[in-house]
Amino acid sequence: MIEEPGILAILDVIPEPVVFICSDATDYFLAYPNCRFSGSYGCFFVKEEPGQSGNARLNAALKKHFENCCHEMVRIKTPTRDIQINTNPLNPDAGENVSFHISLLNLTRSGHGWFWLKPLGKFANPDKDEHLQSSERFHAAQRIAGIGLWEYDFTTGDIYWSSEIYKMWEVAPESDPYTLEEFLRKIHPDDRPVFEQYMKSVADGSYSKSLEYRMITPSLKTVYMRQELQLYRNRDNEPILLRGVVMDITVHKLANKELTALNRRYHSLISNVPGITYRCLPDEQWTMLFISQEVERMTGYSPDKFTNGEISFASIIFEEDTEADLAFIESELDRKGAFLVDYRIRCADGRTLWVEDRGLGIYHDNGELAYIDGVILDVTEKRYFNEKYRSVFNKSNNCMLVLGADGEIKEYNTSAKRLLETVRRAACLDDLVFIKDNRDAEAIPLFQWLNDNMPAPGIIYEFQRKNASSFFGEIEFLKNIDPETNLLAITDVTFRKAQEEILMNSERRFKALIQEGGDVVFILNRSGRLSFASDNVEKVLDVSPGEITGTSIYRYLHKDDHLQFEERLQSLSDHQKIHLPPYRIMRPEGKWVWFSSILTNLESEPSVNGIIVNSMNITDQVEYAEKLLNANERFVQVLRTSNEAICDWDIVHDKVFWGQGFQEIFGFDLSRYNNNLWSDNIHPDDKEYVLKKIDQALSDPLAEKFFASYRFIRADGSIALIEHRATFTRDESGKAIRGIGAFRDVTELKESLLKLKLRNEQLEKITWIQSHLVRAPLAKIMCLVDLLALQDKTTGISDSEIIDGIIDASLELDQIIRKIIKQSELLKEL
Amino acid sequence: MTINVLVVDDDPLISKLHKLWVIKSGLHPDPLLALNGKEALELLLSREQSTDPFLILLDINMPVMDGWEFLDMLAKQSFPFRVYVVMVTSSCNQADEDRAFKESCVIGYIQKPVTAAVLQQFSNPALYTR
Repeated sequence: MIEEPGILAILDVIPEPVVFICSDATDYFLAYPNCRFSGSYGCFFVKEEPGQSGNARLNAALKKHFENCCHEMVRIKTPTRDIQINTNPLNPDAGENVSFHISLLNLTRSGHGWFWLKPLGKFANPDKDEHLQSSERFHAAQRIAGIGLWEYDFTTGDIYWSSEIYKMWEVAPESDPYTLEEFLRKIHPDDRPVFEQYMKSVADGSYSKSLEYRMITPSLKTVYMRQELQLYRNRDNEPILLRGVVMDITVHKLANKELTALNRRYHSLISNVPGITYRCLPDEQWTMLFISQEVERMTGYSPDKFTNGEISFASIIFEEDTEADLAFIESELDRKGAFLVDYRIRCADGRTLWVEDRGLGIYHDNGELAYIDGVILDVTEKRYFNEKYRSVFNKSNNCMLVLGADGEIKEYNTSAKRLLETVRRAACLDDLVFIKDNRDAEAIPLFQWLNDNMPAPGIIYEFQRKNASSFFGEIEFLKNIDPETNLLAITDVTFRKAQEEILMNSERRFKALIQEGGDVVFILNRSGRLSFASDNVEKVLDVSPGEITGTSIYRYLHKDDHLQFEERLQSLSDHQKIHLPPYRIMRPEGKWVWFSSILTNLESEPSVNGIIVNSMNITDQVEYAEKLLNANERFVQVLRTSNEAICDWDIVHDKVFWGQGFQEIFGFDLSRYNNNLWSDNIHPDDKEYVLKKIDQALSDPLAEKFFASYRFIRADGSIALIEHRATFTRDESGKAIRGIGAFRDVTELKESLLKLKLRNEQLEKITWIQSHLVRAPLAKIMCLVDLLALQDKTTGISDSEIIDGIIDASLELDQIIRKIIKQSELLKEL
Repeated sequence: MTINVLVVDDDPLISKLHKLWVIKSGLHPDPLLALNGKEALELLLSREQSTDPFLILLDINMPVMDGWEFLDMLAKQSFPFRVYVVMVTSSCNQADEDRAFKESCVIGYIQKPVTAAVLQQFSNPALYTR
C-alpha cells in the first residue's frame, strides 16, 4: 500500500489517467491505473488543502453531478492550482447505476487525469482490491467495447490517446499520438474532405457530435470509426479541450454491408422468381399480407389490390378447384408439412391459368398456424405439355411405364399392357418382368437390375414375363424425371430380332457358300463373265474388283488352262461342287498367279445366280514344288552319277528306306527286300569287322559320322568294293535315332587306281632302264669314241680294244632298246 | 696331304678309262680300282693304317653291291681316314642325283662319259678339308 498523496501531487507526477472510484457522494477513492495507490478523495484534499474550501467546492460540484447525472465542468482555482473537473455520465438512463467519466485537468500546468466512478451508494467499504478490479474493468470495457478516447488540449496543443486508440489505429504504444496533420493523412481519402469540413465546424462551434469515417491503418486495413466529440470551453467561452470517444465499428459496418447485400439479393430473388411469392393469413379469403409484384404480370391484378383487401386471392381461384385443394392444404398444414397443389385462377382479362402453389405454414411458438408462405407458378404450359405427353405416352408403340422409387407402377400405356400382359397400376415391376443379361444368365427382376445397371442404347436384352414367356427389347430408362419418378420404355424387338437372325443365318450361309476360306472369290456365269470378285482380288491379282467385274475370266486365264477351265465350268450341274486343277491367271505386269479353285454351281440361288469360284493362291507352293522337283532331280542325278546308294535308317523303329541306288547300282529288287538288305550282303570275310565297327559308332554318343570300306555282294553275286559313309542323328541323351547311309561302289575306281599304280611302276621301270641301262652303253660308246679321238698311244688301251668296246656297247644298247619296247607294250596292256 | 683315288665300276673298260682320266686330270697318278661296292669296301677296310683321305669315283648300277648299297655300308663304317665320294653314273635321273647328295660323304655327281676336264674340278685340296 502506497501512502496516499494529495491529488495535486498526483496530478504533478502522474502522466497517465487516474481513476476515481466513488462509493457514495462523499467518499471518493482514487486509484492509479497501475494500482500503485488508492485512497479517499476527501483525504487527499484535506491533506492538500487544509482550508477545505477547495475540497468542499469540489465535493459539492461532484455531488451535484452525481446526483443530477449531468455534464458539468467545474473549475477550482487556488492560489497555486487551477483545476478543472469534467464529469460525463456514461449511462444517464441507468438511474442509480449511472457511471461517469470524470477528467481532472490541471490547468496550472499540463496534466490531467481520468476518473471512473462506480454507481453511487454501491461501495460503502471499498477496499484496494475493489479499486483495482474497477480499474481493470474500465480498461477491459474499453478493450471489449472497442472504445478509445483522445483529447486535444487547445491551450497546450497536447494530444492524448488512450491505450485502446493505439490498438485500434495500430500505433505502437510507445509512439507519440498523431498530430492533426498526421491524423488527417490516415483518414480514408474519400472521407478526408468530410472530416476537414467537420473540423471547421468544430472550430466554429456548429459541429455535429457524431461522425463516422474510415481510417487506413499502417497495415493498410480500412477500419470504420464512429466518433463522439465534445468540445469544452472555459468561462470565457474559449475552447480548452476537445475530447473524442472513438469506437471501431468496422465489424458492424461490414455486417451492415453484408446485410444490405443480402437484402438486395433477397429482393432480387423475390422479384426474379418466375412466380408469385406471397405470405397470407390462413383464412378463407387467403388474405395476403405480402404478395410479390409478379402477381400483376401473371394475373393482371396489382399486388396492393390483394394486400389492401380490395380483392381476395380466394376469389380468383376456380371454385371447383378450391374445395379439393383447400382440404389437401389443410391436411398438409395440420401435419406441418409443405403442400403442393394445382388449381386454376381467373386473370383480370378473363384468361384461365393453371398454377402450381407450393407453400408451407409459419407457426407461432405455441404451434398455432400464423401465416402461409408460398410460391405460385404458372404451369399452364406445363399442363398443356403434360397432356400432350400423356397422349404420346398412351399412344406410343413402345411399352412405357412410369415407376415409383421402389419400382411400383404408377402409369403404363397400352403397349405396356400388350407387351407385359399382366401389368396393373401399383404392382411392382419386379414381380412382372425379369431380364437376362446374357443367354445363359439367370433372369433378374427388371427394376432390381435397373438399379444396378445402366442399360446401353441399342443393346437387345431378353426379358421374361411372369408366366415365363420371353421377349426381346431395347431399354431406355430415365431416372427421376420427377421426384421419385422414373420412366421406363421398352421397345419390343422380338420380331425384328427373329428377322435379323434369319437374315444373319442367310448371310452366314451365303458367306459359307462363297468363301470357304478361299483367297479370292469370283462369281461368274457359264460363259466365264464375272459378276462378282471379292475385295482381296486386288491384293492377289492387282486388279480392283470393280475393274474385273463384268469382264471375262478367259481374258486373264493362261491359254493352256482355257480348255480344262471351260470343260469343268460347262460340266457343272446344279449345286455341284468340283475341284479345279491348278491354273494360272495373269497379273497386269505379266506375272502368272497359280490358283487352285473349287467351283460351286449356285445358278439356282437367287442371291448368287452364278458359279462360285473359291480360289486359293498357290503360286508359292507351285514355285516351291518346282524348285523342289528340280532339286530332287538334281539330287537323284548326282546320286546316279556318283554311283551311290542311299539308305535312311529309322533306328528307333528299326525301319530302313533303301534308296533307288540299291536297285540301280547293286541290282537288288527293293520290293522284295527288308531291313536286312545291307547286313545280309556284306562280304562274309568283312562282315564281322563292319558290323562291329558300326555298332561302335552307334554306341558312341559323340560319333556323328561313320566310314568303312569293305566288300559288298551285289544281287548278281559279284563282289563290289564299297565305301560306306553314314551320318547319325542323336537325341538329347546321345542315343542314335536316325542314320543316313551312302554306299559308294568304288570297285571300278579301285581297279583303275590299281592299274594306274601298275602303269606308274612300269613307267618308272622304263625310266630307270632308260636312265641307267640305255645311257650306260651309250656313255661307254661316247667315252670310247673320245678316247679314240685322242689317238693317244700311251693310254694302255689299244684301238682294237676300243673298237671292241664300242661294238659291245652298241650291242648292249640294242638289247636294252628292245627291252624297253617290250616294257612299253606291257604298259599298253595296263 | 695325298688324296687316294678309288674308281669303282663293274665295266673293266670303263674302269680303265676312268683311271686314265684320273691320271690325266692329275687327281692321282695311280688310282685304285674296284669292280663293285663290295670290293671297294673291302679295299677301304684293308687300308686301316692310312690316314689320307679317299676320293671314290662310284658307279651306281653294279652287280654284287651297287653304289647305293655301298653308300649305306660306308655310313656304317668308321675309318681312320675321311672318304669323299663322287658319283659317276650313266643315270640322268634327277631323283638319283637328289638321293646321292643326301649322303654326307657325296661331294659330286658326274654323268658319264667322264672326261679329264670334269675330274679336274675335284683336284682342289680345299674340297677335302670338310
